[in-house]
Amino acid sequence: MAESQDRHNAHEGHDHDGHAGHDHDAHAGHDHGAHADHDDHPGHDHGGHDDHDHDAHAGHDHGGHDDHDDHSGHDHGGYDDHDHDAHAGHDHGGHDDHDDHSGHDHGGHDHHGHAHDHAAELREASRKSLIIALVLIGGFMVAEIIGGILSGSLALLADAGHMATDAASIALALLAVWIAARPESIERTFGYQRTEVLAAAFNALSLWVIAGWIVWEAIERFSNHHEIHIEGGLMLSIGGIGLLVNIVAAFVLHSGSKHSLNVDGAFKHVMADLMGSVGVVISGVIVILTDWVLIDPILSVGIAVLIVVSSWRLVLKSLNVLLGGVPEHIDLYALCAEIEDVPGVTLIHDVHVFTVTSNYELMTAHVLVDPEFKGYEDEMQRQLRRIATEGHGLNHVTFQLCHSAGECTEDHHVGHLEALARPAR
Amino acid sequence: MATAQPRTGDNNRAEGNAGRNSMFVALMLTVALMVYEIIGGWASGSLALLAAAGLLLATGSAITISVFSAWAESRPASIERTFGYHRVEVVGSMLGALALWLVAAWVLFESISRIQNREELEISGGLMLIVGIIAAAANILAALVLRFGSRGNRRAGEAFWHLVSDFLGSIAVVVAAVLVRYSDWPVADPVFSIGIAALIAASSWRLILKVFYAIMEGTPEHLDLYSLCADIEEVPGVTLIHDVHAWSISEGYHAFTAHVVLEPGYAANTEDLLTEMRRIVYEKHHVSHLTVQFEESATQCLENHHLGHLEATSMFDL
Repeated sequence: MAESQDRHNAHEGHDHDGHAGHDHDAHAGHDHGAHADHDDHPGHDHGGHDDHDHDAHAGHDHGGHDDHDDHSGHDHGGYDDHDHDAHAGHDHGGHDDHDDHSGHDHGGHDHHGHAHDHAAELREASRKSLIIALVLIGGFMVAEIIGGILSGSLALLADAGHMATDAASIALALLAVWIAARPESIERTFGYQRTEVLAAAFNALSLWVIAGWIVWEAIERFSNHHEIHIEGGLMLSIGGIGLLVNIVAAFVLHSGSKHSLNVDGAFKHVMADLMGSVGVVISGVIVILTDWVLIDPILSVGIAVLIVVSSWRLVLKSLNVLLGGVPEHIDLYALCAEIEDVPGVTLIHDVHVFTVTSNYELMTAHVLVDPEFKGYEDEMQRQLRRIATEGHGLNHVTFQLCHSAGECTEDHHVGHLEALARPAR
Repeated sequence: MATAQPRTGDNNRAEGNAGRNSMFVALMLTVALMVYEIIGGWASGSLALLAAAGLLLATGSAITISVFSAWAESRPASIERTFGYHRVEVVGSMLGALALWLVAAWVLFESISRIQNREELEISGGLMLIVGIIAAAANILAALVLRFGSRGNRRAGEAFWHLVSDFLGSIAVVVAAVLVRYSDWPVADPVFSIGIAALIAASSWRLILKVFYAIMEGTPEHLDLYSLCADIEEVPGVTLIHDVHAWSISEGYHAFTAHVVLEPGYAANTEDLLTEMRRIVYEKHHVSHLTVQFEESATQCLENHHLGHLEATSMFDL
């Protein structure tokens, strides 16, 4: 206990070092949810849990939850220790550990249900990478502004403007993460988690606006190309440093961009600016070597096209989430077919799948069960859950087992027959 | 099925048919007016007229989204979209709002640059005045068509408020034109344009709020989730309810999902329990879509983002 207490303290210290002030809020909100889990177990000491909850950052941790589950319904004395241990382990493990955990969990162990936890953990990783990227880019932007004012260089100020759009997109993503970590409530049973998706959609769409603006500017420069005066040398050096900063920031955001649409939105902005910097360097070199100033608008148009192409999928994905569509990686036909193969299942209907936010995908369905299988409901539920979570990567499932469909009055079914009629993919 | 709530999407559709014709007429009027104001703006050199055309763009896109989403909602659900296309309206409104911000930003920047170069302003105040007066009149006409052609239709009601703000924009154009023509103060044009840009941004604001709350999947406004959970827990055999979610897919189409832990021995009676749940959820709380998962114990249930039972009941103490 003493040891774990120490570790807990160490964790607290760590937290205060590296995190912004709202860190604790985020944790608290999350913990709340985690704890409700325990509240739900009959026979638990609810009161004690609640108190405990808000102090320790329980449940945030994957490691902690592993233990947690194995022990569910067991002693409460040890529960305290668990959390402290777990949390300490998590935080000390740092980023890499973190990723390992997520891989591990998806590997099909018994923690699929920690979807929310998992999402929150990934959110925490996203937050860290976003903060690092923001500090990098914001710092460089401030340096450019100071340098630009001191030297009177418009080129420096213009590049600071580019950095400002990046910084704004990262700040928006961070804001979304912060809002999304707020706790669920009875008025909002999904909390504010979808703010992340909104931010992703906004960042992706704003890239298209930026691309349109670049093309507009390029056209103007084409028509007035006699007025183009490019300071080759200065442009080159600014572009070079900006490129480096963007490369580092892109590197920081890259891993997060794979599991979070929100981080992907910020990442795409950094990538767009990175491409812009490459364009500046290339056109600077060409201007110095050949004096061919038209290369600048030509490259600009090319970059605008690249920006639209690279953000295309993000736009589609985030709009699909907002429209309540089934996530791309889920083959709902196959999932329904597997569920119908479970012994005792007659058919599945009234199927709904949607994404709340990245890493939090929800499924509800009504499953018609052979009356002969009465009494085996819990076993069947387990099987269904395993198929949906481990087999298909869903995070949150609710299956309603019914013995007759006659009572079922919802008419917006994705029917069983439809499911089978689909041609092979 | 008498026990079930009708899917209120159907109600919308019935209403929609009544209002649709007048909405088409209003849309045609709006588009024509917009083109007319753009041409007038170019011919007279007035930014205020172009800005007023931007306001009409807001109206036109709002009506288009309404008509389109009413059609989209009537499409069936598919395996890619298990809730159908009910969210088209929300996402369309979001895109529309973003487009309006762009228009407002452009008008703002253009106004500032015109104020900065005010010596170069060449505005035909007379032409601007005539165009503005005719536009204001057409605006009133469109608003009347919508008002009396589609009473009680929510979507037409929203479009009506757009037309009211269009009318304000037209009035601003007329006032600016009078100042340009008779007071020889051409800067009035970009100055009033800034005001119209503010109107454009304001008309997107309500959209934004609506979109935000719809996208967050909040509990339907009419639903007291605490009392719903309490009702379910009072059903004999139910130990507790957890993992509760309630949200609106679209107006009048609400979903409720929960995991319900049963006392030992009740698992065999799930049909009776389900009937009771349906009665509570459909009839008493007017939620049209129910998915409830019965469990013998919650230990198997690994979702941990529950709205806990204690939380739910502690609300009554407040």
